[in-house]
Amino acid sequence: MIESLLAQLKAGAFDSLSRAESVTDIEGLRVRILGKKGELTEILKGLASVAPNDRPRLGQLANQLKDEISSVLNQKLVLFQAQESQNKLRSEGVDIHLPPIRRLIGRRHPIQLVLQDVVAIFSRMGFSVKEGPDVETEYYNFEALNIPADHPAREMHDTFYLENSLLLRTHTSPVQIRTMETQSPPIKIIVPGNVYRCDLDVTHSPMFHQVEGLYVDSTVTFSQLKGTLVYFLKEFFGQSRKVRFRPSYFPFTEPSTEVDVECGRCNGEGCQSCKQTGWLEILGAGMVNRKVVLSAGYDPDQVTGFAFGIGIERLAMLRYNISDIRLLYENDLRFLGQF
Amino acid sequence: MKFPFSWLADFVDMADIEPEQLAKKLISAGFEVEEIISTGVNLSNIITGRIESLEKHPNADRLQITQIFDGVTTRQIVTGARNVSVGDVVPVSLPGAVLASGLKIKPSVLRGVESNGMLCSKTELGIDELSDGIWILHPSTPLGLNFVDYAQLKDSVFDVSILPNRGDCQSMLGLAREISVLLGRPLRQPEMDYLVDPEFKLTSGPTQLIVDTQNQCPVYLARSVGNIFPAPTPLWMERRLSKCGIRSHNIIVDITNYVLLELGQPLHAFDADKWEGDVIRVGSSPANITFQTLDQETRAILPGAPIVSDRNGVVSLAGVMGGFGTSVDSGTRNIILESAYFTPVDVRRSRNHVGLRTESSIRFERGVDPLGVQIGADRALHLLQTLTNASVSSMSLQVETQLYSTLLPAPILMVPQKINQLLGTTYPHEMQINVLKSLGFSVNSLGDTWEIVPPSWRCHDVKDWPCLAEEVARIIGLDGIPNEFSGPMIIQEKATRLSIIRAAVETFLINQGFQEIQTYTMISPDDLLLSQRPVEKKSLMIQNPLSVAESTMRSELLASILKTAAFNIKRQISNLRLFEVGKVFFTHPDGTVCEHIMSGALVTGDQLLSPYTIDQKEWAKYTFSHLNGLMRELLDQLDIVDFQLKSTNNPLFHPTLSADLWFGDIIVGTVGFVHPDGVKGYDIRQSIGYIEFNLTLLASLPTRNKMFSPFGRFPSIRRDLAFLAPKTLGFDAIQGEIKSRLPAEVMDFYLFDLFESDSIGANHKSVGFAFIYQHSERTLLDDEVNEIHAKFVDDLRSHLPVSIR
Ligand SMILES: [Zn+2]
Repeated sequence: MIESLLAQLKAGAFDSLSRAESVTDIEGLRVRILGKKGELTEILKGLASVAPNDRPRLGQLANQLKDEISSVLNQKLVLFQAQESQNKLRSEGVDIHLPPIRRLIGRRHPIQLVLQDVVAIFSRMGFSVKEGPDVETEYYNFEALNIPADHPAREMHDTFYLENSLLLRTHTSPVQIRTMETQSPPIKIIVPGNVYRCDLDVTHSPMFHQVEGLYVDSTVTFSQLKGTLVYFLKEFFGQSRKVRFRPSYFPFTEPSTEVDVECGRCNGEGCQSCKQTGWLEILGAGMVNRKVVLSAGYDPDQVTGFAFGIGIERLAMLRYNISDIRLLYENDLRFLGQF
Repeated sequence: MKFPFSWLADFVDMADIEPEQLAKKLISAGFEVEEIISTGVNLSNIITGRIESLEKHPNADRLQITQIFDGVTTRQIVTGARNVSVGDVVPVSLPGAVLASGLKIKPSVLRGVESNGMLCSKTELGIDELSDGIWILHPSTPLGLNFVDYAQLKDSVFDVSILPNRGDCQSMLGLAREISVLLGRPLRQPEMDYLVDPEFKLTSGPTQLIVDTQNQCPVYLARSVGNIFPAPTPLWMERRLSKCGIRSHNIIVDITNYVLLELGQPLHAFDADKWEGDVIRVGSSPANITFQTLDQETRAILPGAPIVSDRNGVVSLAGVMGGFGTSVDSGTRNIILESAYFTPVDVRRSRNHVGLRTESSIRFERGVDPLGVQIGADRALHLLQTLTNASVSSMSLQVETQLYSTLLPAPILMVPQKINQLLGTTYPHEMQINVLKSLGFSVNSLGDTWEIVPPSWRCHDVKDWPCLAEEVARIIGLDGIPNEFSGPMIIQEKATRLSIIRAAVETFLINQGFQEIQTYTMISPDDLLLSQRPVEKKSLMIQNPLSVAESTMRSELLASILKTAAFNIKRQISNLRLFEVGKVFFTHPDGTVCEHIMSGALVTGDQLLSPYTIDQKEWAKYTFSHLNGLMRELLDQLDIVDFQLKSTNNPLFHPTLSADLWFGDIIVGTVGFVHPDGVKGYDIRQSIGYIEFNLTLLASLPTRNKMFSPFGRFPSIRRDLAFLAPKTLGFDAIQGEIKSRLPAEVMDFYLFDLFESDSIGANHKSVGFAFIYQHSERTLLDDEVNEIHAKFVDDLRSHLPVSIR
């Protein structure tokens, strides 16, 4: 009697299981068949009226059936759970090719990119950063730098004048004097800053940027100046680029030199951008003139030094292949977005 | 300055030297060869010939048939030239000749007439860009000459930029002196000899020289020359002048120019027959003097400028340009030749005043050789005698003032060891001394120290021993100096607060999508009309601006950034985040100039690149809260606390959508929207948000003290409070009241809800705050918190005009 009930239950259960379609169906079946008040429990209540020696066998039979059904229930459950979670994720999807939500990108101005690089290279060599005023006096901009009132070099520095014989500095060199006046050697500084000349064309801007360098100590040599500048130029332009030192003249240095780097466009063969010379003029430098050392209040017999000045716009134009300096100050975003 | 290779070769043997080779040596010694202009590279087989006959071509109106005689044979040549006539001597290219353009000349038949060559113009011979017709030579030119050599058509002209301190090299001989040292070859001096005719005396012209202006003219020499035969300028001289950019005038003027180029000594020739009176007077110009220069322009002379006068007045603006009245012309037979030294500063001031830059002033300005006055005169007399058969009078008027002897170089004490110390070299002492000797310095050993006297032509630039180091270094070559990269350890100074703040602001803004810009610190005064600057901040004006648009030093960064925004908006780029960190300038009433470093960040358009859903579009709009938020985030990063936000009086800003950032009693920044009127001035039709900090001031502010305080380990409990408040009740007032009555157990509170609607009435707003209760040593109980919160709410209600919801 119980055996046939169990067989009936089994057939019915498997039939229902085969028609189950969801996690909900499976959970319903588990309660209906195996739950506390389920069909199997109901059948097992009948065991009480069965002969005692038949009970173990029938009990075992019922347990087997229970295991069998729950195993199938579990299998189906896992299956439906997986299916349903997949369906849910699928329904959440979007078109991944829609435009992303984007904000503007911030970038540095190319002049600042170059300035930062230059400052970083010299910082690695122990130069400290100093700054000075854009509005200067004739004394700091000229006289203290061995450019007295009637010196021809004043004409080369097309100067903007303000009221009260103030002027806009034509180079960052005044900071040499200002620093030497307030500190004692050793001094090893670089001075980035704005400088001004009344000049405007494709390579000249009325305001531009310079980095001045100054190293003053008891025995600074021209040889160290060369070593320092060669290191800088190779770091900036690349190790394979040749560097050339030419004797030159500046009122505030002696000996003076102008430093060229091999043209990168033609590898020194000569092309339009280097005016067929194979070289690009990069910076001016020299040993600090004894008169300058003196006007800074040091004893020129005890102290020597070197100084150099680098035009940042020129470096930026060379690095980024910019032929008109005015682009740098127009701030067209189509230009600035390229750096 | 231009230097023909062939002329330099007069002084140094360079037969085996290529121009490029020489250029390299010059560059390494400090003479920048900017360009080498080669002429006549292709030319060959050009001779001189005379036109014996001219007849019309039977078949062509434009052509003529010429018979050309070269001294031996006669050739028939057909020409299209119009400017030739019988007897003319012209350059002729024979069959087989090559012209400057590379064109090869072959025998040909032109419209049935045989032609054996071509008559040449200057263009065809490679010396003029444009020439009008055939080059007609002087009738005395020998026939059948190799014209390429005769006219020095093949040459390399060096364009050398002479350094300002090397006035001594503004001449062929000067540069040749350097070349002779660089090549280690002897220097040949030009011929200077001439005969003085003791009998000869000019019947006109001065006989006396008075120098009134001792400090402007330390030496003046005048020679008189007569019986000058008006010979044509020889072709070689004309060609050399022309290669240096000087046009031929007449033999006398050409000789003075030639000597100027050759020796660097400016000379001037006065026509003696036009001279008035007996005296040459060299003095300083009085005020209000005008004078007609050679070029027939009337010029006002700088008062105090050196001048030369005769009885009638000024005859020369000394060192700059001679006068028209006594000028040499083709009829001149007798001259006064002036060779003098005028001081550089005076010549420069004088020529600056008249706005002339002449070959002569260029040389005086940089200083000529004080001993060159005599040499220059001698060389000119030699040439005059050789080329024009002139008679040189024994009369020589010369004045040397006291200044003259001080011009000559003084000895310099030099210690070769110190030169090595400065250069970082180990050059043997003898090597250094030899370099100096080769350059014309006289040397005298005093043991370890040497006494060095520079040559007269270097009196202007060599004055101290580092100049000698420079000479040694440049002649041996800067490449020979090692690249040293060691030295004592120098510790970098620590960064200033300003530079740290500046870097932090820049990094923050870039990370927030702001594009850095770089503008001029000079702006237009119109830009300033935007802001009625307080009087204590006066703007600095440039006295000599390039344009009005760049004539005022900015006292506001906003003007520069707004202009950049306008520039880009005009180019249809309307979503912008721009920033600049830069200087502003102003003068205090006491005259002191202040430079402050400001940072300005501008936003406009959408803050998303291209929003396309309603949510995105709403989110993309800038509000005051966005700007305020950016400012607060930045201040947080800078660890600046204890600031206050107050409505701004700044007329540049929107009166209700902006605020000033105060710290104590100073304004250190401003945030908000720019005043629409100001924006319209730049033709911008969209609203502009702006955040500005004065970094110079920010750098002086104290920062948050960084000390760890433990955070609560026990669970917190949140209690919300929502109430209706009158719209006029500001958030600042509500928050202030809450803060002052806050129970000790509240760790934190914040606004979580704010709305206005018709349902709560037009005059009210609904405000919701969350309060976080937490105890540092134990878990708070619900009942406990309820009790505290209820008391707190009662307290608030009795002090704020609000109704709890
Ligand atoms: Zn190149």
